[in-house]
Amino acid sequence: MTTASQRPPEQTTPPRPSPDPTYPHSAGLSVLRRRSFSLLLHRRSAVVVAVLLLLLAGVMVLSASVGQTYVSPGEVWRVLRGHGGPYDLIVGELRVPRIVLGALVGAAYGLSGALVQTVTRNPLASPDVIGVGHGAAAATVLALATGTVASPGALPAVSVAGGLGAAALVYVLAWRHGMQPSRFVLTGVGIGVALSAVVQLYLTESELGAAEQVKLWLTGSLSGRGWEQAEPLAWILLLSLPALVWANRALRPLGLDPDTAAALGVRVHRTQLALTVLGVILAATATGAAGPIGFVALTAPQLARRLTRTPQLPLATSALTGSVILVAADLAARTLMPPLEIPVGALTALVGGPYLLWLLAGGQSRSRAL
Amino acid sequence: MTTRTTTTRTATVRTSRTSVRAFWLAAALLLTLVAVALSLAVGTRQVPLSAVLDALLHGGGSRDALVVRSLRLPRTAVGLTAGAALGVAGAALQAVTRNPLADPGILGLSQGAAAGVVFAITGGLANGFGGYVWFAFLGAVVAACLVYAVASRGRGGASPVKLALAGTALSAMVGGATTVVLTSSSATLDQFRFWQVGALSGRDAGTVGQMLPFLVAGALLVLGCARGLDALALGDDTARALGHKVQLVRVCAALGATVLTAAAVAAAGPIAFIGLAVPHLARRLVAGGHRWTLPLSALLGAALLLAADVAGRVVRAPAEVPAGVMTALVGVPVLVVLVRRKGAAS
Amino acid sequence: MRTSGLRAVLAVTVAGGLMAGCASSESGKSSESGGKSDRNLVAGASKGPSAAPSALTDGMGTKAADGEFPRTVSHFKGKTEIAAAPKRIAVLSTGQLDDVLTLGVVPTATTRADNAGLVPGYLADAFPQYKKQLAKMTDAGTRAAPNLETLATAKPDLILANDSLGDLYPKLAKIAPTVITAGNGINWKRDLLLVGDAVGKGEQARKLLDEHADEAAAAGTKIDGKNTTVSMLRFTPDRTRMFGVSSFTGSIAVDMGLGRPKSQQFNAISEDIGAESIDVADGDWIFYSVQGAQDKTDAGSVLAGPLWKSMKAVEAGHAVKVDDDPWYLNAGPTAADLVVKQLTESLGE
Repeated sequence: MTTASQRPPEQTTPPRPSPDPTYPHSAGLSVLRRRSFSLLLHRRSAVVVAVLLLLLAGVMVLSASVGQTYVSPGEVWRVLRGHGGPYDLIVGELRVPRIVLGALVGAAYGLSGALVQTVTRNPLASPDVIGVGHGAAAATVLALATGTVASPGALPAVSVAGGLGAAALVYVLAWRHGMQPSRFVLTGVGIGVALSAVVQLYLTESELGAAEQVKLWLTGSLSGRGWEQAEPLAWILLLSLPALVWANRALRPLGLDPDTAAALGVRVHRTQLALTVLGVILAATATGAAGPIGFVALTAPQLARRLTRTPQLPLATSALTGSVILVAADLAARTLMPPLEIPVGALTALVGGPYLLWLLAGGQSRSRAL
Repeated sequence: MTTRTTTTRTATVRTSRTSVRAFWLAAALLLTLVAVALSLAVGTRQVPLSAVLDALLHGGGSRDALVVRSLRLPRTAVGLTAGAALGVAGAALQAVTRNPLADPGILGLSQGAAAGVVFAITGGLANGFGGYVWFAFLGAVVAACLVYAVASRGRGGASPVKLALAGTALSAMVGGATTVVLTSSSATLDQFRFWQVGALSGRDAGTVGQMLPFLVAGALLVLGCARGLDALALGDDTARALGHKVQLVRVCAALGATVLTAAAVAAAGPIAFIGLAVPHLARRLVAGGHRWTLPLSALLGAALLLAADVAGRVVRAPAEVPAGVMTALVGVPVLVVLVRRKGAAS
Repeated sequence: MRTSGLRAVLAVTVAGGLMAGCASSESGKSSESGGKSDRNLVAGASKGPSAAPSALTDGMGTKAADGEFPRTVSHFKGKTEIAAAPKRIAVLSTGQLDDVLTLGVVPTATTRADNAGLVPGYLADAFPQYKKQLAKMTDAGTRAAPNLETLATAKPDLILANDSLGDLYPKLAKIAPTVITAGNGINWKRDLLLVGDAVGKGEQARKLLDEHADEAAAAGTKIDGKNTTVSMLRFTPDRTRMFGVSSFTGSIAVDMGLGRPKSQQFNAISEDIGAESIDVADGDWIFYSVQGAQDKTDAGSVLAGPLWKSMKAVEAGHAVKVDDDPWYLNAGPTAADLVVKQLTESLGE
C-alpha cells in the first residue's frame, strides 16, 4: 500500500474541472448589476412574483366588482381615485377595505406558514396547528368572560396575545433537550384541543347573543371589517420587512438537517427560535384582525414552492399566494349563498382539508420523512 | 437438578405475574363500581347511597328515587358502555398503528362519525341513537380508511405526526363542512348542537339496549385479535413468522375499533382522550398481552368517563359541564407527557 | 425525566384549570352591576334583582318633541344626527321590529334570527294590516352577521341595531345614520324609548310604556298575583335555563306584581339548570318554551320524564307551554302585552 506521500507528485492532486461557463444562467439565476450593487435573482421566482402580483390585482378588482350589485371595473377605478359616485358606499366603504384586509391577512398567513414550515422541516406544520388560532380564541373568550372586552373583535391585542401565549406554551412544553419538530407539532395538536375545550365551556354557558357572536368570530370572517383592522396588520408587516429579508437568507441552511447546518456555522437553535417567533407574531396578528382562518398558512407556501420550483419555501411568493387565496375565498364566501355570508374560515377549511390530506398521502415528490 | 429448580421458579414467577394481573383487574373492577356508585349518587343534587340502593331495589316515588332511576341509571349505563368502548378502541388502535398516540379522537374517527351523524340529521334520515349509529359507523369507517391510507403513504409510513395531522385535517374539514351546511339550514343546527356537546344527559334506557349489539360485535372482533395484536407489536415480519395473518389482524382490529367508536360516538357524542390515556395506564399496570390489557382498558375507560361526567355535574352546579369537555381538559396533560417521553413522537 | 414531565403536567393542568375556571365562573353569573362591558346586567341599577329600567339613562335619547326634525339622538355608541323623519328604516336586532311596528312604522329591511323566518309569527298575527309591507322587506341576513351590502343596496335612511353589533357601528354609520340600543331583554323599556326617539315618536313610546305598566299592575291585582309564584323556563337544544327577575319576562312579572320562586331570584338574566335538578324550577305555575323541535332535543326527554311530572305545578296542571318568540326571543311592547295577556288568562282560571 502506498501512502499519499509515497505517491508520485504528479498524481497527488486530481485535475481541476474547468468552470461551467453557463453558470449562473443555467441554474436559473440572473445577476442584476448596477454600479457596485449586484443582486442574484432566481429568474423563475421573479417571473412568478410578477405574475402573482398581476393575478392579485385582478382578483382584487374582480372582488370589488362582483357582489349583489355588479359594479364595472371602470366604476371601481373611479371610486378608488376618489371621485365618488353612486357606488362609493358599496365599493369604497364596504368592499375595498375588506379586500385589502383580506390581502394583508393572506400575506401574513402565507409568510408565517413558510417560516414555521421551514423551521419545523415539516410541510404539514403551520401556525394553526401549533395552537395560534386556538390560543387566540381561548384568550378572546376569557376576556369576554371576565368582562375585559365587550365583543370578540373589540380588542385585537387580546387575540394576538393569546396566540403568542399558546405558541409559547407549546414550545416550552415540547422543548426537551432541544426542539424536535414532530414533538412540537404533536404538542401543538394536543394544546389546541384543550384550548378549544375551554372555548366550548364558555360557549355552553354564555348568553345566547354572546355565544352567537363568539361562534361567528371563531370561524374567521372578513365581514364588516376594514381599515381599522387592516392598519395594525399593515404596520406589523411593514416593520417585519427587514426581519423577513434576513429570514430569506437564514432559511436556506435550515432546510438541511441540524447537524449539517451547525457544521456550516449556523446557530441552529437561535435561528429556529427567531424565525418561529416571527412566524407566530405574523399569524397571531392576522388572527387578531380577522379571527382564526385556517389552512391558508398551510397551503400557500406549498403552492408557492411548486410554482417557483425552488428547494426552499419562497417568502415573497408565499405571501402573494396567501393573498390570492384569501381574497378569492372571501369573494366566494360573499357570493355563494346570498344574502347569507359563509364565514371565510369555513371555506378555507373545506378546501384546505382535502389538500392537506393529499399532501399527507405523499402528493409531493420531495416529502421528507415526518 | 438445576433445570427442575428453574422450571419451578419460572412456574412460580408465571403464577405470581398472573396473580398480579388478576389483582389489577379486580382493582379496576372495584374502581368502576365506585365510579358507578358516584355517578348514581353525586350530581347537581346529592343523593345518599342508601337512598340510591333503596331506589334501585325497592322503587319508590320520591324525587330522589325518580332522579336515580329515570335519569342517572340510564346515564350511568351509557357512560359505562361508551367509556368501555372507547377504552378498548383506543387500545386496539394503538396496537394496530403501533403508535402510542393513537386515539379515536386524534385520528379523526370520532369526527368522521360526527360527520356521518350531521349527514343523517341534515338529510332528515335518522333520529335518535338507532338511526345515528349506522351513519356514525359509515362516517367512522370512511374516516379511518382515509386517515390510514393517507398517512401510510409516503416515506416513514404512518408515523404519529402524520396520523395526528391527518386526523386534524379531517376534523377541520368536518368542521368547515358542518359550518357551511348549518349556515344554510339552521333547522338542523338545533338537533346537531344537542348531540354535539358530547354529553351523557338526555340519553335514555333504550339507548343502552341499542348500543349493546354493536359493543358486543366490536369487542369480539378486537378480543379475537388479541394474540395477533401482541404479535404485531414485534413487527410485521416477526408476526408473520410467528404464523399470524398480519393484514387480517389489522383489518379485524381496526374494524372492531371503528364499530366501538361509532357506537360510543352515536350514543354520547364525540368524546376525546379516553382512548388515548386509558391503554397506557392499562399497559403500565398489567405488563402483559392484550388478553389482559383489553379488559383492563374497558374497565378503566368506563371508570374514567363516569368520573368525568360526575365531575362535570359537580363543578358548575346546577348547570352541567359536558363530559366531552372534561375529558379534553384532563386528557391533554396526559398527551403532553406522553409526547415528551423519549421516542414517543417518532 | 420524571420531574420535567411532572412539571409539564402541572403547568398545563394549572393553566387549563385557571382558564376553565375563569371562563365558567364569570359568564352567565355576573353578580356586580355597573361593569361597562357587562351586558348581563342593567347599568346603574342597584344591587339585587331589579326590574326593567323604564327611563333612559341621563343624556341618552333626544330632547326633541314627536315629529320634530332634524334631531340629534344620543345612544350607546355616540351621537347621531337625523335630518328628517325616517321613511326607510332597517332594524337589525331582536326586539326592534316589535318596537317600530308597535309605534306604527313598517321597516324596509330586517334580519332574521337563526332558525326563524323574517317576521316572527306573533308579530304577523298582531299586525295583519301590515302584511303586504312586511312581505316586501329586504332580508339583510342574520342578526349575528347582517349582510352589509344587502343593507346598503336597500338604501335605508335610519339603521337600528343593538350593542351586540357594536363592532359594526362605524360601517353601519357610513351606510345610514345609526342608533345603537342596549340590547338584552332586561333593557327592553329603555330600548323602546330610544327607538322611539330615533324615529320621532319618543312621546308615543313613553305613553306605550305607561299604558303597559298600568295594564300590567291592574291585571296583577285582579288575579291576586302576589300570592302566586311564577316560574319561567326555556329549553334550548343544548341547555335548559330558568329566567330570573332581571329578565324580559321577569320584569313583566314585576310589573304585574307576581311572585317568583326563590330559585329564580338571582341577579343574572338567566341560569342554566341540568335535567337532574329541573325540580329546582318549581313554582305555583310554570311557563316554559321549547326552541326547536321538542322531540329532537333535550326538552323531549325532560318533559316526558318522571321528575318533571312530579313537580308541583305540573301535577296541578299549571305547566303552560308558551310561544318562544314573544316570551324569550323578542323583547318588545307587543310581546310584553302578549305575555301579560297569557299570564292573566292562565292565572285567572
